[in-house]
Amino acid sequence: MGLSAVLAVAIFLGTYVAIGMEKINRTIVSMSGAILLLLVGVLSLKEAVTTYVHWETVGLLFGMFTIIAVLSEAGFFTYMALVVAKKLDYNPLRIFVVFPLVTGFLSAFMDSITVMLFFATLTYELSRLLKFDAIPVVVAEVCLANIGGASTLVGDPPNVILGLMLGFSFNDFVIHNGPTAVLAALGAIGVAYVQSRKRLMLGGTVDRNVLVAMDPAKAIKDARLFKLGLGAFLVAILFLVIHAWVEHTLHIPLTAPLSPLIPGFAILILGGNKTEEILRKIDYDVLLFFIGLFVVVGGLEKTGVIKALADFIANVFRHQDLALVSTLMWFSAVSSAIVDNVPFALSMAYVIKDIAGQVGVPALSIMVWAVSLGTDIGGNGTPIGASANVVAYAAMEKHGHRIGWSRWMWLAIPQTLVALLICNLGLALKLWLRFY
Amino acid sequence: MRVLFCVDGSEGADQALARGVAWLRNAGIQAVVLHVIPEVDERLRHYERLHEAELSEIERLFGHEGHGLEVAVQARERLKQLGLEAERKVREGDPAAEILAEIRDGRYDLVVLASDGAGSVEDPRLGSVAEQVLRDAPASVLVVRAGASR
Repeated sequence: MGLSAVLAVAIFLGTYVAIGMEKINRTIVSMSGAILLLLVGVLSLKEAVTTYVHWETVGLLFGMFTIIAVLSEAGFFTYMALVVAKKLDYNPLRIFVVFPLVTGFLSAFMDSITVMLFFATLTYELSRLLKFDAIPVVVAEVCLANIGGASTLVGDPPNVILGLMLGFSFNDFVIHNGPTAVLAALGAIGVAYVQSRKRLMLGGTVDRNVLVAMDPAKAIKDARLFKLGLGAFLVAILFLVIHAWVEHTLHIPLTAPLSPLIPGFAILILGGNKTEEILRKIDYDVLLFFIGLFVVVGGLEKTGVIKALADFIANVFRHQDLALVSTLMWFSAVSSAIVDNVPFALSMAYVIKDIAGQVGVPALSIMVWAVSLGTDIGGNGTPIGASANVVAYAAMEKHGHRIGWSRWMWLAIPQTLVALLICNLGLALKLWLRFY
Repeated sequence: MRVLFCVDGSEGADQALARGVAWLRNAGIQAVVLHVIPEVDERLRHYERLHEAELSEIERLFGHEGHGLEVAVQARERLKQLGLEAERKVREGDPAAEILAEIRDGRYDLVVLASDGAGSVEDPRLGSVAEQVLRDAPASVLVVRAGASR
């Protein structure tokens, strides 16, 4: 291994560990790693910006963030939760089952962090009035949000990275990961129900008056913006579904990143005096975090470290497709439960691309589904496994419900294990049917 | 005698209030209830800033003030029901450090808190906040065992 490779590995590991320790803001860590890599000469600035930063991923995330910012500003999330709770007649047991399914569904198309920020807060508020234990509900919501995120290209950042870097579309994810994720979600909510249904209710007087008098429509802060946001969201999803067909048949370059960017910018144009407020809500820190990581992982790719790792994996698992696919999924799951799943997914995108170039290994697509399911779902295992977990855990703590690592893991690990077992079976079935 | 009751909205803290009052009812005490809002995680604070107005809107819809104040208000109400008038205080930061700072600032004679608060009720060990307060408090500390009948 040459000096460049040693430096690239050292900077990557330093960045990875510093992100995991959470002592310094992770955006600052990833950007510092990138700057250090440029400083020691492993990559040139031009190379970093033109070859390794994957602008398609950044663009798609920016577009989705814009639409989510509009929906948040208009009061969409509160409205959605209140409508669902009202439909369920404010029955805690029904809320316990249906709210996680709603967070799973929303997170398939939206940033799960924003979904969980609102749902954790709203679940706490409902639990306060209806006297139920919010903790098992919030943990199940997080688990299903992460599982739901696995089902589409835009559901979770690792999917955006894997899909766009390796050339898999929104429809590919829906067709191949969608059914597996739905079954995994049903398995996880089943486990959650068995675990906590008898201990859900707390004592005390239930105060339904505030809820019965509450009109969900009051949560909509701006009806025009609400319609615009919802319209833009549906257009983005429609574009994601049809963009490949439009590109090939009509020869209009409607790429995946443009799918949310076009409706996103259309609302910014039509947003009037709300435009600045919407722009302020976009999570620029995450975009910078990604840009830094692209450079840090790019150092490993350029210096041949990724290629060496891919060769090693391919040699160990040659002609053992199921073993390789299962190992990729479980390794991704365990890694994602311990450290942030974004740098992991990014490194794995390069690794599986290099593995796929060898003889006696499975197709790239099935490896993409394995890594995607593992990274998205494995993060459930600990309170820090994914950003949605961190936000939900901290929001509950702020409201006086300290979940604690042991209770989180006690609730989340069985749900996660069942979900992952279902995914592993799904992957085995796909290999057997040669449907990937 | 000045007594500080530390609360966090948990069942254990509620038991500590009741038990503490039962033991101290006739001692002529001057009571204060304190709730410490834990420091908010940096990442949550980031997302809360992005969606600040909408989150405040939820609190408004559900008709209550900030959670910290609410816990202290409820605890004061509970003490009133138990026959004790109290002053309420809310601090923000690390719970153990803030309780210790309040004990020093308020010159209390006795501190009442639960053995384990909003954390795991099943865990029989002393909670980390209770442990730290017990170790470092410049006053006597009454730790009420959460879930115990005596």
